[in-house]
Amino acid sequence: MMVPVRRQAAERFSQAAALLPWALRQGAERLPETDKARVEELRLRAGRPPTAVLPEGEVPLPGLEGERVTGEDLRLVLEVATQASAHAVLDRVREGFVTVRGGHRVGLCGSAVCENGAIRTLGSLSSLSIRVAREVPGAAAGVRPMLRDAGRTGGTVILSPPGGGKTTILRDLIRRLSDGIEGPPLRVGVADERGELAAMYDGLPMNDLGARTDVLDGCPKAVALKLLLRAMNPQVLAADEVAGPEDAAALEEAAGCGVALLCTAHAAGPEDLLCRPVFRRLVRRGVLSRAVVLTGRGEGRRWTLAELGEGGPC
Amino acid sequence: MLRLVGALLLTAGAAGLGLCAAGQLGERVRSLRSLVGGLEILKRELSFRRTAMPELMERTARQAGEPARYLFARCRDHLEELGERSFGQIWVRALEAEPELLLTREERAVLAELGQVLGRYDADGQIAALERAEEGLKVCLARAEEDRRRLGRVYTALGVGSGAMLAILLL
Repeated sequence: MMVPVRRQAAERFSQAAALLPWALRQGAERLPETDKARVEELRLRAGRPPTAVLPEGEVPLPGLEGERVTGEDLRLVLEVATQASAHAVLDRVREGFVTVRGGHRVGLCGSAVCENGAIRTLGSLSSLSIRVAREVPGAAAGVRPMLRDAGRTGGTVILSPPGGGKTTILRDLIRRLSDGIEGPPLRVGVADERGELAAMYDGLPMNDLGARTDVLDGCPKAVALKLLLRAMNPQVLAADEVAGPEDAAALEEAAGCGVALLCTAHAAGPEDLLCRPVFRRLVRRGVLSRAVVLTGRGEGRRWTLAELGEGGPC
Repeated sequence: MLRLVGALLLTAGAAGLGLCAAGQLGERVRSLRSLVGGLEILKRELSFRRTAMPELMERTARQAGEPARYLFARCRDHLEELGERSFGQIWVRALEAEPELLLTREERAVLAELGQVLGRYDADGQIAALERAEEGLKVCLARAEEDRRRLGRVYTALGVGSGAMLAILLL
C-alpha cells in the first residue's frame, strides 16, 4: 500500500520540479527517490543555492550547492507557472501565489509595486517557493467519527502553522465525507479559491475529492460559499485557509442555513486561533465548535481534536 | 531560327527576373500587413479578454493573415519548451524560422523587442509594447509600399528592357 503512494508522491514531485529551469531541474531530479516522495517544497532565493524542504529541514539540491539562483531563473519559473500569461493571473500574482496544474502552489516574494495603497504587481522577484501538492489517502482516517454527528452538523476548523498539512487533511476529509467513509455519504460543496484542493483542469479535478463533491474554484471564498449554498444544495461546505472578515461572514451565513462547515486556518492551536477577533466571533456565535490540531511534520504528523471555547487568552 | 528562340528565351528570362524582384516587394507588403493585423488581434484579445498565452497564440494563428499566422502557430507549437527557454526566446526562434516573413533587420528587431514583453508583464504593459511595435511596423509598411510602387515598376522595366537589349545584341 505504501509503494504506490510513494510512487505517486515522487510523480507529483517531478510535476512540480518541471516548473524549474532546465539546470535547476537536473539538480532536483538528482535527489534520492525516497527524498523525492518526501519533499514538501522547492525553494529558490536570488543569490543563494536552490533547496528542497524535507520534513527534517532544507537541503541544497544535489550538484547545485555552489550555484546561485538568478533573477532570470525566478522569472522563468513564473513564466512556466503562468504559461507566459502573467496578465491572465495577475490577481493571483498580487495575492502572492500562483496555483499550477496539479495543484502545486508557487509562492512569490519580491519588490511590490504599489498603487493607491494596494499591490499592483511584483516588480522584481527575490524568492519563490514551489509547494508540492500531494494527496495522502487516509491522512484524515479517524477524524470523521470524532466530528459532531459524523460531520453532518457543526463547524470544524483544521489548525496548523503554515506547511503543517492542513490542506492535505482537509482534502482527505472531504473525500471521506463525500464517499461515505466512516459515515453516510454527504454532498460537499468546496470553495477552492486557490485551486489547491481539487486542482481542477478542464473541468476535471486532478485530486480525488469524492463522488458527491461540487467544486467552485478560482473565485473568492466568500462569493464561492454563497454561490455553492444557493446553487448546489450542499450538506457540507468546505473552504481552505479562512482568514478575512468576508470569509467569516460567508461562513456565518452558511451556518445559519443548517450546513456543516469545514475549513482550515493558520494557527498553532486553539489559543492561537482565538487571539484573532474574526475567529473569536465565529466561536462565540457557534459557527465553529471543534478544531483538529495538527502537530509534527512528515510521517511524524499527528492530529488531536479540541473543543473551541469562547474567549481565549487574548 | 535558333537565334530567334534564344533571344526570346533571354527576353522572357530577364523579364521574369524583373517581375520576380517586383513580386518580392509585393510579398513584403503583404507580410507586413498581415503582421500588423496579427498584432492588432493580440492587442484586442489582451484588452478585452486577458487571454492566456496558449489560447492567445492559437486564436491569432487562426485569425491572422498569411504569412504572419505561421509565426503565431510556430509559437503556439513551441510553448511546451517553456522552462527550457523563455517565451522571448521561443518568439525570436519562431521569427528566425519563418523566412516567408521577408523581414529586414530593423523589422526583426522591432518584433524581437516585443517578444521580451509578451507574457511577462500585466496586460497594460503588453498592450503598450504591442502599440509601439505596431507603430514601428506601420512605418516599415509605408516604406515597403513606397518601394513597391517606385521600385516595382523599375524592376519590371529593367528586366524586360535588359532582356530585350541582350536579344538585340544577340540578333
